[in-house]
Amino acid sequence: MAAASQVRRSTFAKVIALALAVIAALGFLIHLANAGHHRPEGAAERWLAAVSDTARKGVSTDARTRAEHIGPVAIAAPLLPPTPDTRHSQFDDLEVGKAVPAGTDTVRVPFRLHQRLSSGSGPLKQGTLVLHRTDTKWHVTALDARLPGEKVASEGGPRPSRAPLALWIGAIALGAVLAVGAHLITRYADLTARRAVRATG
Amino acid sequence: MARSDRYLRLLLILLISATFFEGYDSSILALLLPNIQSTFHVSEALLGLTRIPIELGLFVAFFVARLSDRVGRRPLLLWSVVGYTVFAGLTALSWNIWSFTFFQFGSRVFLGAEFSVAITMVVEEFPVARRARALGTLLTFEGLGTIMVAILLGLGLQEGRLDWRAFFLVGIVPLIVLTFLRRRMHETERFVQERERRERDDETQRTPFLAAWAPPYRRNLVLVGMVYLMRSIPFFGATAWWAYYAERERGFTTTEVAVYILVAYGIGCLGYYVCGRLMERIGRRPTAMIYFVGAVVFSVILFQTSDRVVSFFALMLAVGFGLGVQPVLSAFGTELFPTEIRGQAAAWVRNWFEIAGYVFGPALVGILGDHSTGAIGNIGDTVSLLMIMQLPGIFLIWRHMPETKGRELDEITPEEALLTEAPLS
Repeated sequence: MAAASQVRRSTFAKVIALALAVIAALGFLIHLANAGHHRPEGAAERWLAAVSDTARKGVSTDARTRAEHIGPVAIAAPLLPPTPDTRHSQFDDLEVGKAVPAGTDTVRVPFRLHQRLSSGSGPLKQGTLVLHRTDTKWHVTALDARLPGEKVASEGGPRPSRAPLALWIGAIALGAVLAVGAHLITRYADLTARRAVRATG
Repeated sequence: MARSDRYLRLLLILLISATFFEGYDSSILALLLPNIQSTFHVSEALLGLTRIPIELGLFVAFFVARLSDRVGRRPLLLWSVVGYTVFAGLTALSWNIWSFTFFQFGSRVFLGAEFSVAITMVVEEFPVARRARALGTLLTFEGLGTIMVAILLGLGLQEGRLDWRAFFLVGIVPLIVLTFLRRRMHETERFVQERERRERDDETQRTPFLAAWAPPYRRNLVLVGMVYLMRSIPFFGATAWWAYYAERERGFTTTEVAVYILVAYGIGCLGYYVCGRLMERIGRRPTAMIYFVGAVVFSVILFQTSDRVVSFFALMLAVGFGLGVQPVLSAFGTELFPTEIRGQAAAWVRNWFEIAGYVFGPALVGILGDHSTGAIGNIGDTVSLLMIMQLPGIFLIWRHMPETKGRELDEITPEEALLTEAPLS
């Protein structure tokens, strides 16, 4: 255990500080990468998820506030089951498709969901939400029937978003860089340990 | 030195409760969150916030687990079981979200310590010929803990008068088992010898906080820690988000998700057992590389395919390889360190490196894959891209990890690992 005394707390503190700095830098990079993204598909999905909870015991007020922030809950009336089960969400599942432009600052987002009844999964509801952009935020303004070609991914439609090819290539390159970095860290730990062992005889 | 077969069987049964409830407890929180939210009338934002202190309990577990090098494996395991049971029971009695958060934090502290000590005890007590298989069997029960939650959900335990609270009352079972069997559990012989050596040499029983970072062990600690970290970030990101991905990006119903988890997870849990047998037969390094590659390939398929049948088999194999690699990782995290710091070294790799991935993995997927504001904008591609982080782990195992197959713990010295460039054989 004598060797243990050779580990300086100051060195350990520096390593921890370095790790925290790396985490902070990564956080900043991710924040930069995320900046400027406001997808209508995400807004439509959040609105439907919040609407789904508007009758659930204990969370209905919070859910209603979240939904109204994106669009009036009244728009969703045709989607809700006739007698809500207050122990569960009102939709058993939900999926949104890729937004289709429908004029300046307006898009149509197809969706698909099943109502939840107290007896289990209820009827399938399909349709399209119309969203309008104000500044950078998207708001649900209407519920509409689907137009031809409007499909969600599980029905064969396009996925709302895809990582570009450059990102896949970049990830592989990053993996290689990380492998080299990890190799060098291991070699460095090996080297310092050998030195210390040699120094103590 | 050798323990009887009967004792080893009993020990394994006692330790199984530690791994089983680790899987069980983590899954309750993941699967019953909406019910808990509903009971305490809290917003989604507050619910997300409370997860941070709860999961920090696993980090704090490090300070408890490292005590096993000082007070012994047996007392720490027994007190951890008592601590976990008390906090699990108290969780069932929570009166608001803050009491719930505090009790879950306490529960995580003891569960994390219990898990680390259980692995150390198996590694120290089982002879080399059966060590890997015992690890495989022990860790299979972690997966079975998750399946148990799914079964209880399917049976509608949450629909009863106690709601989600009933799930936490099940956590009292380990204490009942322990009450009857605790006297038959002994301190590990390796720890007893180490304690006698310290007393003989008049060494202090206290293990310094940074003992595992001392020069002779530093290389292996850094190496094993990085392998744990690079596996845990994508792995926990994938497990935390699969159900959400399946429902929101692939159109699965909640029932389909539950069935997939139950069946594919159930079969996939065989991966633990196979891993134990394989590392005994072909060695730790080749087994780890096969499992890492399998986890990457099948996880990428799982998060890219839209075919339900392919998805089922990919989930099964991703679970089998991704979760099933635990026995070989546990071997790396314990076998490469001497008895006097084994408990602490295992706690460092698990409660620092692995828990870092447990916290950051799901957060990274959530932030980058957010459907509205994420840079990537979908969970499937985000998880698949993160899986590439496992490549450095595979490289490190191939290039640097020592092989300990067929070697008794006393034969493996850290100095030996330092003196050779090529992996030990």
